[in-house]
Amino acid sequence: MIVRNWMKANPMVIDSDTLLSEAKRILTENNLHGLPVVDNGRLRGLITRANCLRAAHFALRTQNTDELNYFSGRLKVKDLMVRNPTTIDADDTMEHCLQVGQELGVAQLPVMDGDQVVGIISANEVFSLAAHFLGAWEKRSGVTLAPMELKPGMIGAITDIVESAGAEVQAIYPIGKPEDINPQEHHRKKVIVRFHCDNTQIVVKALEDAGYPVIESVQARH
Amino acid sequence: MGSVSAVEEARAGAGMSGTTPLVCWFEEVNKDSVALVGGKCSSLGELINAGVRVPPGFALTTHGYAQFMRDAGIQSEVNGLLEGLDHQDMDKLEEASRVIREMIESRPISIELEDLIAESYRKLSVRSCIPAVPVAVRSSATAEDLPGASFAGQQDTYLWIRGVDSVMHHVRRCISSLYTGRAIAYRMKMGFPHEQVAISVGIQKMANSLTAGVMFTIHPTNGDRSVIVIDSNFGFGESVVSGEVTPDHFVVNKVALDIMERTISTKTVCYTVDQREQKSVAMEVPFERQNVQSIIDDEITELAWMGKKIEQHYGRPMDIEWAIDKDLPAAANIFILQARPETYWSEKPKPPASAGAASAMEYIVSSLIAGKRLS
Repeated sequence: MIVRNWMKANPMVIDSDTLLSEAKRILTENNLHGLPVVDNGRLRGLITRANCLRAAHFALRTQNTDELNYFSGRLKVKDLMVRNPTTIDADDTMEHCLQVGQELGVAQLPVMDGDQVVGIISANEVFSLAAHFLGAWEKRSGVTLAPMELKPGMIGAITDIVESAGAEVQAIYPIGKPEDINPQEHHRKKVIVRFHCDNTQIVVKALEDAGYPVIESVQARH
Repeated sequence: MGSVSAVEEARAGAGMSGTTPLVCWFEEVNKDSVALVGGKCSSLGELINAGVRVPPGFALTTHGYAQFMRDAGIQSEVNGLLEGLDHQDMDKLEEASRVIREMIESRPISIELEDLIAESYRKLSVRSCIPAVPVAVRSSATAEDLPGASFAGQQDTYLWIRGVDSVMHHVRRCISSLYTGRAIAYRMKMGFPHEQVAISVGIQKMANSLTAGVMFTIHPTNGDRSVIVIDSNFGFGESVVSGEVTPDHFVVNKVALDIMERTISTKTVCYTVDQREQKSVAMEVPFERQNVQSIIDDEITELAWMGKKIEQHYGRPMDIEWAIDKDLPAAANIFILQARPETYWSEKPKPPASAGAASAMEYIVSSLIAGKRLS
């Protein structure tokens, strides 16, 4: 899972001398959340839709024609763009990218290859990543098992139980809380199992009989 | 992964956590920061930290200035131009000054420095709730190169500057004001090396002033410390500071805050903003307003009260610039733009109130009258 394979490649970029109203039009018409600002091949900033809308709101709130004229006719991208935005490298992993976004609270990350902008990761790409992971279009059935201490062989055992109940396992995701990630210690994780089967109740019963409490189950309807 | 840590490093370098910040907010400095941000900005920081209502802003520090000069690489060229000039030959100095100032103003600000200034400007705009907020760009001299009142008037101030490009341009013009003919002559006379002087530039949110002016917490003509004297005119305070108009003049009792004396003058000119062009212009005061009092009595009282607080904070008479914003409601619209210690009267030696100390009793009486500071 390298950023290069998940990013939106060759994103639209904009020049810092462009009028803000033009940037706003590009953002709206293309349904984008952020535009990297590139001057002479060098990344200078990032203009986000949120910042554009906030500026528009500030200008409107003055109820002053001259202020609105300034906003639409004089304000430039360079006046509003965030300088030195956080970027990620095209060869970083998506895990790293998600972690950076979460820690800094940013949702738009220009992707760099050396000093060139080669892509962007924004909400759309993160949605697509999650959709791929969960096989959103496959309509899988599934269960969530109560938190447990995962030991070697347990995931295999769970797979065996589910498959012997007549289901076809598609994916298993152990989920822990970010704050207790510590590779040295055993820690308790919920285990989410996704599979294809016609009757989830049979799977639920098999798991509970084997000593794995089920806290959530989903029956896919095709 | 490398890029994230690079960003963090850049942030650490930009903030006050670095040992030599290139840009810093007014609230991060105080009156002891003259060497870092010059007199004007450090006094603004002091006022903000004392709880006085001051428009927010930030400063390009003297380190930022030094960085600019290093990046531009023109210091030796500048010194070369000034080599062998006579400090009394003003024509030659003015010519050298013009060449140097043109040189400084034509050099680009490095991308790193521009990013720091522009990012602070953007944050200031967000804080002020106006995109590309109008600012005043002012040079803020450090004490040793341009001391005292004689030079205060000639440091550059640019009003109602909007947009990153314009801010950058005027920051450079403020930097180049370090090389006016008079400043060069002064340094030559005093023997200060040109490469050791530094200047800071303050970028402060512009108050959209309806009325502005100056206030002394001492009577400037006779040194009477029991009064506060306020001069006011419509528009920005520059018309009052420069002496271009005869302002309205009020004398307020410092204890009771009563207006004891009022002189309403005919005010012909004021500086205000041309909203369409978004720049500061001088304009004629409309005829019907020329003889109208430019500040209402309640505001005079409020202002005098603020002056008293500032005097208390500094413990000496002050010379204060103020403005009343037209976009804000009463009671939240009076801003202090600058406060500096009054120098003329407060540095004058006071004649003893009771002369002579022939006997012990006379000595005690005279020191009772004069008063003594114990702390």
